[in-house]
Amino acid sequence: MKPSNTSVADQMRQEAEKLASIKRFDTTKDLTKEDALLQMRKLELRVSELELENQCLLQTIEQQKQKKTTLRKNETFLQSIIKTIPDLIWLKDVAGSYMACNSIFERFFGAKEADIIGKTDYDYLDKELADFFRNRDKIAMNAGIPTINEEWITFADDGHKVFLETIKTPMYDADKKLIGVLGIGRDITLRKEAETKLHEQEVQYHNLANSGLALIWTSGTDKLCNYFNQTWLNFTGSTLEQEIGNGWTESVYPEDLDQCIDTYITAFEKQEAFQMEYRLRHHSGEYRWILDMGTPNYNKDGEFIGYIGNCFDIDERKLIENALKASEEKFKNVFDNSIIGKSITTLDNQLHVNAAFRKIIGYSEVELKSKSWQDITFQEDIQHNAELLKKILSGEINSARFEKRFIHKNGSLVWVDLSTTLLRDDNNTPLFYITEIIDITERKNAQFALQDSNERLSLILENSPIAIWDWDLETDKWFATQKYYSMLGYEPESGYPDRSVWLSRIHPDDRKQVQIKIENVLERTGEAYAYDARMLHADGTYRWHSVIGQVVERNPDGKTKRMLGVRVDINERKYIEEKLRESEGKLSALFASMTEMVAMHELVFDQNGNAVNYLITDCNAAFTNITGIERQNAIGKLGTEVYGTTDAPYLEQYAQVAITGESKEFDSFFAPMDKHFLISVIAPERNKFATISTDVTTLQQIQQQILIKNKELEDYLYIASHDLRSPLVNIQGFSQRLQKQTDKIKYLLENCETDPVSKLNIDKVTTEEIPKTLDFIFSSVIKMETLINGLLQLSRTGRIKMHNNKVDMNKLIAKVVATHNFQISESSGNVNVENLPDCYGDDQQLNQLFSNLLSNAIKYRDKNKQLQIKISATNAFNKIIYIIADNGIGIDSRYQEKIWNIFYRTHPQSQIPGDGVGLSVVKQIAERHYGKVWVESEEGQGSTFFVELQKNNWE
Amino acid sequence: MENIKELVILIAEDDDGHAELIRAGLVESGVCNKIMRFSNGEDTWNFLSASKNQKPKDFKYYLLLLDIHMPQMDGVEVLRLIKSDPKLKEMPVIILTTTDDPREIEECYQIGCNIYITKPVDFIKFSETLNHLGLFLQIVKV
Repeated sequence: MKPSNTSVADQMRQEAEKLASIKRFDTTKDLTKEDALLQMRKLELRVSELELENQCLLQTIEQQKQKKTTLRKNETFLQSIIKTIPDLIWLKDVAGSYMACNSIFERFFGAKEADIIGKTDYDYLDKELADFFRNRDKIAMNAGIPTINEEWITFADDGHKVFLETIKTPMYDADKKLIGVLGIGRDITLRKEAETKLHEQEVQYHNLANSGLALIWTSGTDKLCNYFNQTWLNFTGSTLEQEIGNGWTESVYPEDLDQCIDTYITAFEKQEAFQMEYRLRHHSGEYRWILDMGTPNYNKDGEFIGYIGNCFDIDERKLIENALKASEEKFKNVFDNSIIGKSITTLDNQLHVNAAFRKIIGYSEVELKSKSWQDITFQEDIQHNAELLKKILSGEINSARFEKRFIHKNGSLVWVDLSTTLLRDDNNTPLFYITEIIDITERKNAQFALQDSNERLSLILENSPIAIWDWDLETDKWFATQKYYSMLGYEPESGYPDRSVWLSRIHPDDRKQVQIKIENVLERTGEAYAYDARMLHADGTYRWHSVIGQVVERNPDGKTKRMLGVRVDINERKYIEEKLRESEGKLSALFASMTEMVAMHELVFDQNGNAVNYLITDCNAAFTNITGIERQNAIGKLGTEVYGTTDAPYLEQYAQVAITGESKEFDSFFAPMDKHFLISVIAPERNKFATISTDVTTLQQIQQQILIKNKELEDYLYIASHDLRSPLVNIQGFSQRLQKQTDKIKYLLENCETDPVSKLNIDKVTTEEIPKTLDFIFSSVIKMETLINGLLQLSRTGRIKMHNNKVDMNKLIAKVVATHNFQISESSGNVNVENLPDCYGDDQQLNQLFSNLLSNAIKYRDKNKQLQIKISATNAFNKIIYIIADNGIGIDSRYQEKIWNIFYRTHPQSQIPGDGVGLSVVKQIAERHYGKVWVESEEGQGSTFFVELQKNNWE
Repeated sequence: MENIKELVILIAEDDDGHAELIRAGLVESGVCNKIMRFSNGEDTWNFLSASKNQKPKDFKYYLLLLDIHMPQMDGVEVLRLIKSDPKLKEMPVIILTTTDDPREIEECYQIGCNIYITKPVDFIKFSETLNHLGLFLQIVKV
């Protein structure tokens, strides 16, 4: 068995020290046996010492091992503590990045530790809070000691709020180098609340204690009261003896006693402070409210020795409280049941409204909980309302009343008359707003409607050309709408315009009559005046105005008191009237001086609605001149009467025009007068018609004669040309025979014996002279035949009977173009035909007409360009003009008239074949169709031929 | 063949020159049928209306070359009479005239002329046309 290490070592050390001290006295002079022994002993001791040290070292290692195990255990334990404790624990590095946190902290950020590590507060919190935390961290790190701060935080996971007491401790590594800051946050919300409450109570207590009116009592551990101060005794009027023990309970209002005792005993057993209110009998006999606050009483050693109580007379306060409560009750009643909408808006914008208010805006109480007044206010009104509230809050005004719009739950706008007052306490601290609203939507709507109609009226007045004025003669007050001035280009005046200025603005020629008219009404008995006059416009021109002034009020003496009037610009009307007068003047002059008979009529219908006659309503001088019927014998008379016929002349045609409104023109021989008339009928309005008739009897006769003469001429031409042809055939035929006979002579001569000289002479006659003669004859015959053929063609065209029909011009032209296709393609020409309207006529002749024009266009093309022919048409009233335009060589303006003449050729010597009849035929056919042809042309540019034909049958 | 031999060519032509030219033309183109000439419509008609009653043994076929414009009775009138006569209407009639008026031509065809030819006559073409009609003229090659 080894001796205890320590004691052995100690003994040895003591021995060694002894030895050492000996040696100190005995210096190095001589070394005895004893000394040697001592030395040896010393060495032995040293060995032992080393052994011992070795043993100690082993023990130390063992101990350290144990410590390490414990440390590991502790670490695990610590970690589980960290995990489970309700505190938030985290570790941040110097830069603010998280290095670790516990599970509670995870809930604060609403993220897992693994995610939080490496992030900063800025990643999870708003900037303000993150800044705050970062500053706190810095403060702790700079201070080098733990710092404490408190703040409200909100958990990200469930949103609950807690008041946190945070201890931030700077952390250092082994080398004392700052590595970060450790945070431990403790939820001290409850403590905080308790502290707040306690603080409040303390304040209250001190208030009361300082009043010096405290009724004080003490009790012992037996709960019995053992002391009452004088103030108490004075209050109850009892003696200390009477009160001691439970005597004081006698003075407590019986109803309050049980509660009172109960509170006391409950608190006593827990040794807690208590507070209670009860009624205590005053020495005057009345019960007064007492606030009794008991606290456990301890002696110097901290031993519980009972309770000490402070009581205060709070009767007055209680009374006030009760009164207030009653008043509040009353107020609540009034508030809730008022038919006027009422609301209380707290300064933090909480809205409490009564039933009437809810009814107005349509929201339930629950729905309103989450709404502020802004939420239910019409957007446009919010700013205005907020400004007013600001003024009230600042004390600038006490209350406000205004009209505003709420938004009803159903989305409609509700107009209310709103009064709001800010309630303040005695210290003038604002409490809340009391607001009353009355639904004025209907009134407002009516008001708007009125406003609208007023605006509309003024808009009408402003935009209409009518000016209105109102003149109070008694006060000489004058009012006129803006138009009064603006209609004449003047700036509107207000007040009392100088009427003499206005009078001067009347045209000098009109001024007198205006003055007279106005004076009549003002001075005498007239009720109204009206005049048209020219007024001077600001631009210097005169404009016609029409003015009406009406007396609306008279004085008892009959003098005009007030007048109303209107002024209208009638310049346009006057202008039109003037023009109308001019035009009527012209028209009637024309009517009277026309050589054509003009008569106006009105149809007369029978009971079945059939036109049976017509009435002559007007006629001109020419009518009388031509018909011999006097004007007075015609106007107002029926057609049958005037013309002495059984049926009104031309009734059918006239009625058609008067009913359909389509004008008509026809010529007719009117047997009763033995006259030929060309009659135009037009219908100025329904069932009325005007006839413009021209006596064409003479004209007709001449035309008839011309027709006959023309016919004769054509016949003559025909016969002549035919008869001319007959001898021509002979000349040609016999010339041919002569040629043959000459050949025969030549043949005979060859076989005949004649002297060479005679033969030579005869040969000369037969081979040179006779053929030359014959050549002249033949060429003349051909020329003559061409002429005769031309004449024949022309005369034949005139003689051919026409078969008139509606002609489909598109079809006809297509046919004409088709027959010229060969020549067109040969000259690589291009014919462009537009859609053509139909006309009336003989399609064979029209075919001839257009064929001639087309072949001319091809014949007289410009060889240097591609031939372009365009055929189009335009409507011209009841005629159609067909247009054939080419880009050919054109016609010199000198010849443009002559081309229509027979046998006229602009290029007689040219190689262009032609008989000189084509255009004459074109002209003749057009004229036979009551049409026209003409040409527009420019040499070198091309020609455009116009063919005017009738749209309808003229027969 | 006998019928062909008997075909007599009648020329109704008021103009002597024309008549002479027709005759010469026919002769020169080798026609050797008998040719009779009338200088107006009336003579022509008189001859024809008389000949329709001829005895069968004297019966002759006629080809009438008819001018239109003739004094007294014109060609159109003669043509109409022929074509409305049951005995004569089979007789071939060729209108030979100076008129090329299409309406006149049409009228003649409507009445019933076989061919309408305008003067001057190309006799070579003329005989070809006749052959087409089936009228075989007695042609002597010269």
